[in-house]
This record gives sequence, structure tokens and C-alpha cells, in this order.
Amino acid sequence: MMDTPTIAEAASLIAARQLSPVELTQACLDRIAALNDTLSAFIVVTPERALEQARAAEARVMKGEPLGKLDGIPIAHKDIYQTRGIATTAHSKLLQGWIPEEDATTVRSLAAAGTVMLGKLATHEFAFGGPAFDLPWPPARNPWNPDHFTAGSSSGTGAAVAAGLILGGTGSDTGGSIRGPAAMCGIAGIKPTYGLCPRTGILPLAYSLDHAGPMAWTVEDCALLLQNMAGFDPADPASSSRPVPDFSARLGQSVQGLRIGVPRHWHETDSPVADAVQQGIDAALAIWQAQGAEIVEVVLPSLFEYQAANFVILTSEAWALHEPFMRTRFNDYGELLRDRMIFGGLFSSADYVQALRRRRELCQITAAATRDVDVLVTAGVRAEAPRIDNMPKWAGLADPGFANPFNITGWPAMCVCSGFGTGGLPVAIQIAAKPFQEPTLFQVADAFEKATPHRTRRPSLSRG
Amino acid sequence: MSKTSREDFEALVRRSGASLTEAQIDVIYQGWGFVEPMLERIRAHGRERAAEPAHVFRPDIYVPDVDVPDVQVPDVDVRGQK
Repeated sequence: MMDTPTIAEAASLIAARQLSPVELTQACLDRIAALNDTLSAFIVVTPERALEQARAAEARVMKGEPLGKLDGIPIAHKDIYQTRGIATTAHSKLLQGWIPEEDATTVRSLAAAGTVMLGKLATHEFAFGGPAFDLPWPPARNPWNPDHFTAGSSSGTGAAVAAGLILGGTGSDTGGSIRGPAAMCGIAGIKPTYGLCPRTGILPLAYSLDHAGPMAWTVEDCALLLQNMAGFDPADPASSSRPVPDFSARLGQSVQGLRIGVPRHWHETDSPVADAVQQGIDAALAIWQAQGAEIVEVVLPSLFEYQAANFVILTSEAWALHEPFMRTRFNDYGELLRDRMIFGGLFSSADYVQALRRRRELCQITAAATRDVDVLVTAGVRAEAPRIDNMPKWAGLADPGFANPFNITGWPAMCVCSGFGTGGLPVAIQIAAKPFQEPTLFQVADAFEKATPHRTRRPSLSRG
Repeated sequence: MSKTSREDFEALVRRSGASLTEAQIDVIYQGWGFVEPMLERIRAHGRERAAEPAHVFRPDIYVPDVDVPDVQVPDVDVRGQK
């Protein structure tokens, strides 16, 4: 089986006519055929359409008219991204059999860049309830050990990228749903600034917290995908009309002179992390310091504060969206989704407004406390992935994660692999930048990633 | 341990309009023990009355082409003080 190249590597080989998009696509389809029964990463595979798109890409390349670096690159979409003529289920019985008539804006823009779509990827139900075993499709499993969780909700994308079933894919992030699976599956994933990527045609979870973004094997690949996902969309009320910068512009540059903030109390006190995670943070700080960055300790509100505001806003907005169905088809939802989402139906209108007032305060405090730093570095997750059959029902409520601060503030944040735990599964750090500073975020993440050996190691089953 | 009694919690659930069994309410009541402290956190701050939510209403975004006339800055502030 062909080793899976990164998007950047494949783009160079395709441009040099040393790699055929059709052969690359077929290799991914072969890998899906071999591994999807184990990983359950895909809900739907679309091989005929994929090969047709790959042949079109190959024809463009051979004519010397490629559409760009993504022409002929195999990807797939989280199954909350609407795809015209292809079922979009949100991994839920409620949408089983629904075939949209329109593509999501980002599906359309990635297709226009020449990507080859291989199908639709597993998610937690409506991007919220999982890992669930009472849905029409099983949950995705971690390629590093299929007995273990992928995190969610962009679980299929995390598993598929890590196993080399695709070179990149899409995710969404309302409370960590890109960064969690990126961290636990050992890949890279970015939640961009709120409003940078259009959400039109992506099934919403919570309007004021939903972000669309890419997931891939490397930071560089995320930058390439984001370049073709970002941009103003008048159909998305939150879409930013700012010009889209070159996200790859600072890749490979030293971080000399940058100031990197570390809210140590988050991973030491608020949510203490495993040794492997701490070692990843320490290694990252040493790498950046050696390159000339200044490390600065930062004190921010506790993770519990961000979690509380995020949870009340998320479930309130989700309840408003799902209320008619939660009232009439409660038991058609999976247990995990319905037992989390119903809390939004128990809050008062004052609770929701208080959470929004707290959100403004948290944004202001975070901005003031980070005035003198360029980026923040935190843990990506507390520890490596737990067993998928041993997930405490209320785990997400009991322990605040590291993702919520950047859903609340809308800041861009990404997780990158920072090593492996004692169980052999990956762990990650998270890097966050100020709004619309994605080029700086990619610069810092890329500098760390390129200084470590973690991108040379793939899950053993993907080499089979 | 929740500060809300089981009876009061069931009333909240019934008000939501969702039809749950007693057993389902028992399960969710356990989760409420984690949610209640979150509500206390967002309620607990002695905010100024004028502290607004993060979401703001902007009428101009619905009529983006409207002309903004030249505005003469008055010699008084908005509270009418010279």
C-alpha cells in the first residue's frame, strides 16, 4: 500500500507529474476498503464520484492547467457539511436518508480548488452527542488503538486523516470538536477565528460558537486547506469581510522575537495533565525559546469560568434549534445527545443572557491579560485517549477542557501532536493567537512541529 | 449533590415540554449536579447594570448601503453637560 503523503508533498509530486491524482485517489479508496470496518471513520464512501473528479484533476495537470495546490487531493467532509446529491446525516436517525440540494459554501470552495471528495465522515450526533452506540452508524475509532476513543465531534475526520484514508478533511468546533480529535488522533487541526470560514450549509449546533475548519496531518496542510475555506460569505451573518491573508506566508520562519504566553494554572491547577502532556508543553517552550522567542507567564480566568459560559450558551442555542424535535422525537436521538442537550431546555432566559454577559467579560479579561503576548500555548488534552467503551457519562461536564476559552473568545486555536503517552497514543499541545492572526499561529505551530520527530510516526494499522 | 430537589428538577423537565420517563429524569438529575455550579458561576458576578451581553444588535448591518450624513459634533456630551 502506498505511504500516505502530506498534502504539500502530494501537491509537489502531482505538479511534477510524478504522482497521478487517480492513483492517489485509488490508494485512499483501497485503504478505506481495508480499514473502515475497523475504524468506522466513513458513513458514506463515494468512489465513482471521487475517481471521476480525480480523472478531471489529472487531465488539468496533464494540460498544464492545474487549479492550484489542492488539485487532485483526496479529502472528505464531516457529515454535518451539506453535500448536494449525497446523504448528509449528522450521524443521526433524525436525518437518515436526507439528501441536500445544495453544497455547503466550504464544500463548494474546496471542490472549486480541485479537491477529490471521497465521502462523508462520522461525527458525534449533530456534532454533540458521542461516542454513541445507539445510532444508525457506529462511532469512529482511534487508528492508534481501535479500542480507544477519537474524541469528538469531528471524530471521523480525525480517524481518517491519522490512518491515511484521506489527506485532509473538514471539521467543526463549538466546544473543541476540531481540536479534540486532532489531539487524540495525533494530527493537526485548526479552529480559525470566528467568522473566518463560512458556516452556510453546515448543520448548526450553537450559532454564536460554531466554527468551521480543516484537519490534516501537518500544520502546513491545514494552512493549505484553510486558504480555500476562508472568505466572506454574505449568506453567513457572522462571516468576516476582511481580506484573507496568505496562511502559508510565515511557515518555516523562526519565531525569534515573538512573545509566547503560558497560562500554567490551566494545566497545573484547573485541569492537571498527564506527564506526557506536560513534557510536550515543556518541549515546545524549549524549542521556541531556543529560536529566540520570549516565554511569558500569563494569568487568565479559570477554565471553569470559560466552560460554564460555553456550556450554557451552547446548550441554550442548541435547544432553541432542536426544541420541536426534542419535544416530539426525544427517543429518536441518541442517549448521549438528548441527555446533554436537554439542559438547554431547563435554563431560564436570564441564564442565557447572564452567560452572554459573562462571555463579554471573559473576552475583555482575556484580551487585557494577553496584551503583551503574540500567542498562548496550553495543553491540547489532559491525557491520551481513553478506551471508547469506558467513557464516563458526564466526563465533559466534570472536567473543563482547554478548548472552550477560544470558542468563547473566538480566537483561532490549533492542536498539534506533541508526543505519545505511556499507552502509545498521541497527546497534543494547543496554540492560540489573537483574532485573525492565523499566519502567526501557523508560524509558531509549524516551528514546533518541524523541530520534533512526531510527523514521521503513523499508526501501525495504516501501514498494513 | 444538587441543590435543586428531585421534585423541583422534575418540574423543570416537564416545563421544557420533553416527554421523559421517571428513569430518564433520574439519569439527567445526576448530570444536573455538574450543571448547577456552572449556573452559579455565570450568575455570581456583581455586574454593573449596564454590563451588556457579548451579542450586540447592529441595525446598520441590515441596511449596509445607507448613507451616513456628516454629523456636527455638539458642544455637549450625551448627558447634556457642557
